[in-house]
Amino acid sequence: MGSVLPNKDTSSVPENGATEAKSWVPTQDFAAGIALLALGGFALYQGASLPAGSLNAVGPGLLPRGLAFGIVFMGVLIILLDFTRPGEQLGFVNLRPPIFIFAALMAFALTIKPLGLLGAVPITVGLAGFASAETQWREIVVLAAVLTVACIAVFGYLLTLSIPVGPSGSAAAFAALWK
Amino acid sequence: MTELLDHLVFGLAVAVSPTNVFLCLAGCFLGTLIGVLPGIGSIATISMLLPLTYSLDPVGSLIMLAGIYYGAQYGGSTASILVNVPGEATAIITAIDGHQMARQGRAGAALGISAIGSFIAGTIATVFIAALAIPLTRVALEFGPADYFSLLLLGVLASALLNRGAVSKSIAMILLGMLLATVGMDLETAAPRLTLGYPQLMEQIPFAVLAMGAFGLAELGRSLETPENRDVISKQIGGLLPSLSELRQSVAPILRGTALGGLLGVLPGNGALLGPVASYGVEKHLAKEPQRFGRGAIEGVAGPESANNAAAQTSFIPLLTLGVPANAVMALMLGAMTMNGIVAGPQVIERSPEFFWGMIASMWIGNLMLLVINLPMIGIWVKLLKVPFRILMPSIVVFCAIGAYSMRNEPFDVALAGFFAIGGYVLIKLGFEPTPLLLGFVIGDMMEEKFRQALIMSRGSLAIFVEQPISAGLLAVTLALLSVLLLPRVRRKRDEVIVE
Amino acid sequence: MRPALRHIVLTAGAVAIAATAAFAQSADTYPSAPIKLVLPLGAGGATDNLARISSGPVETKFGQPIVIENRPGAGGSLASAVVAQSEPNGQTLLFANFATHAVTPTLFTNLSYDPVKDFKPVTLIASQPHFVLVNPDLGINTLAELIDYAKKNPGKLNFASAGVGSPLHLAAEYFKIKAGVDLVHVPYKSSAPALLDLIAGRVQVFFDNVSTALPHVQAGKLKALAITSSKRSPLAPEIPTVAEAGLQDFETYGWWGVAAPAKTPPAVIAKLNAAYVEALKSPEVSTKLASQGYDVIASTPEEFEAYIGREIAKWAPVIKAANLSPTN
Repeated sequence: MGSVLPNKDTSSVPENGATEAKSWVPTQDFAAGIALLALGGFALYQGASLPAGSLNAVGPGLLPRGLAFGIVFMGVLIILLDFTRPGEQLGFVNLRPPIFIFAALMAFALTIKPLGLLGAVPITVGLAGFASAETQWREIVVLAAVLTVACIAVFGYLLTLSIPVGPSGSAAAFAALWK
Repeated sequence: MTELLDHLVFGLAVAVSPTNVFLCLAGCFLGTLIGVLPGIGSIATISMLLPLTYSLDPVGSLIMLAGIYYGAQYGGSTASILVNVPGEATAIITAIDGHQMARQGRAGAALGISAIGSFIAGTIATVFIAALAIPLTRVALEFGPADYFSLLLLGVLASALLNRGAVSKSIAMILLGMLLATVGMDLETAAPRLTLGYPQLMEQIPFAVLAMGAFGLAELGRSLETPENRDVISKQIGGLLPSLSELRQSVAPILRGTALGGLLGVLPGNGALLGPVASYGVEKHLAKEPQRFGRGAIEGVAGPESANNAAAQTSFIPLLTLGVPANAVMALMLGAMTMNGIVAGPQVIERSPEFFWGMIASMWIGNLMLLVINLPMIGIWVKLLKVPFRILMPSIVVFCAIGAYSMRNEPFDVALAGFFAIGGYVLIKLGFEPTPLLLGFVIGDMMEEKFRQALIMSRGSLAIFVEQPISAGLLAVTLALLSVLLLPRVRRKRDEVIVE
Repeated sequence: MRPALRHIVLTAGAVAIAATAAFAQSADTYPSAPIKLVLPLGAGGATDNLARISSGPVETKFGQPIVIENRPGAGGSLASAVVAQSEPNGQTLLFANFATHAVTPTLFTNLSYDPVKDFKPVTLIASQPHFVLVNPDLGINTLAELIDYAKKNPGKLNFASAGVGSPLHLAAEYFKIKAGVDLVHVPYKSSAPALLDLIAGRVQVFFDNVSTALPHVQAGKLKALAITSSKRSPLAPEIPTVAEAGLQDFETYGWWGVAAPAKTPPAVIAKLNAAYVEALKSPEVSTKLASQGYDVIASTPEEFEAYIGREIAKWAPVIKAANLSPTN
């Protein structure tokens, strides 16, 4: 697993072997297999009402169901293979970054229509700031200001995208001031 | 041969007018600037910059649009290499080794070889189009749904093998990617599939949303979780250009990538994607030490990037000779042609020769411009890596949010990117890799369409896949490759068992 | 940071409220701000072009920009929902088309808005008929020959479609009903691969827009048996109409118009209609659209409303016969 750098923090858990110890931590592959079973099962459940048809008239359900079965099969296979050899321990080191990245995107999704870039960018930058332990809040405030101005200038005015710039209706209010 | 030269000279005369050169340059420059923003791929870039071309004359506006396209593609590769956020399907492969190179302080070499490889590929592909555009049109026409399906099957196999991790996990990810591609209205009956009741999922999940979530943002989350994970990037930054030995290493991959990409690019649909995949697979297979791939092998950037650019070039062929756009970007080009009163179609060469040959010549000029703009800019891009990660990270999140939103003006898509970020993070922690997921998504989308079309045409008989000669040939290649790859593995396994 | 955040949110809220108050405008001052025209399709396509060309002179006349917002997806229902739920003041308009107003009411039974009652039509801008295209190698030269051949060989010919429920798909399904023939449907996601397979002869019949198909017909790669309108097209006067070719009561068009939220004041609708009609009648716009294969219509709101009613009634049985699953 080249993409996963060694997690030194998890070294308190024995590397392999004694997995049946008191505090049982699943191996990465075991958990991966379970996740595949869950995903495949969910897809099967969701797609249960779709007719699969036949080779003569392939229905909308054939491929989703086939793929879901394939995923379930791979899940079983990965679990079985996992029993045959020692595997890497599952380790979630620190959930803070993904949670705040998620929160930042959700906040953007919720605020872009009502508040425009003017509101959504600073809120997104602020929440993303929580994702890192090393965030310096003074920097974040400056960054939020710079990014807000830059995004409004580039996307709102230079490229005139239909992305809202300010709070909804503010364009009309602004225009009304000049009448 | 003289005729070919005449045509190219004629085209150059059109394209080299000061206005057109300026438009080409401006297009490349703007395309690079917008395309380099993480999460904003070439389709998004082109649709953002499209209005700039509305007021120009027909040839000029198309030349500028082509410049934007090349710029956006190069910008996208830059984003993949520097911050690991591919904005489009073709940049996924670049991200694998390109980003590893950047982490090792070789971002300059990666960006440089990508520009140089693209230029060489672009030059060869330009001559190739000028000489063979018309015969190559036949390739696009000969390729039926059954043939396409078999080619995609080969693509699936290649995707499963390009990875560093366990093959079983790669296959699981490809299947999951293909499953995600089925979300939306069924192409024949309009039945909603796996949409969970959201009307926004009735259309397909936009690729860029999945890519930025499950690839870029998920990886961002992982790299932030422990301090030592991320500072690797800013440690040391090597030379700004590839060294002589790196260049020598890259020559053959560039040429092979150009050939593969140029051929596959002619195919309609997203066939262009298969170019980089094939090139990566070939380079990894031919390499003396395949284990270097995925850990910053320069051939893994040089080959796919050349393939990518050659394919970008030859994907113009169906549009130029048949008036049929091969992919979404070409459809935008066709729209611009119509807007400008140029009738795209089989007669475009006879009716507007200055347009046809001017466009082809401007492709080459566009590639030259890219080299001219980007080699000096590598220094700037590399400096970007010195920006502290705590500042870069919120900026990436904001650009991804804007990129996700602006494709369909849909806040839901931003939230969707957030969900994919979480999902992708969990998958990474479970030891899965996002690359086969994304490849499965792109391939699966085409594969179902082609499979069903082929079966309808054969009235339900699977025999169509072996009766069509091209399809049969491709299936044979797939089988051969599979057995070559599986046999030594099986033998090794058996040896291991015996030793135990 | 928290107080700062709260401050931003409060200010933004105040601005928003002030804006809504300032919005109570009359038809005299309309439009007081840029108009948002929501498109059910992506940027850079034919529909996008049509919207820009026809809205250009309206912008000039009103002295306000018309900002086009592309909201593709779900048969146009995403775009429709945005407009249906927006303030009925003429500042947000829908670029209505065949998908949003002829198909969606039948195909989607579970919408968050009413595709008919939530809108007030402004004008039907233009329509475009289809060509009945065949591969020339088929050796069929007239529509009557096609119908005859299909009747003698039921289920032998393939027809292509581009996008399930699109005019190009439903026109062919309608043809099957009207001509009483059995053709096998090969679905494509877009028109380009369908055209390629038609040129290559893997599918034999395709109903395509006049503008996209014409170059291929002129180059002899495809044969146009008939045009699905009541009159011949000035772009291809040699192609007979379906009625002339022997199939009566069969007309199909893709069409495009502008619609506003239902409660928009009639005076605003009238002002918009006048501006669009004037734009469409200007020689510049009408010749440009005609050269791209459109029949410019520029109807009254009432005519558009009646047209929508007729279209829904015409296509509902076709959609049912085509076995499309009406869900979501």
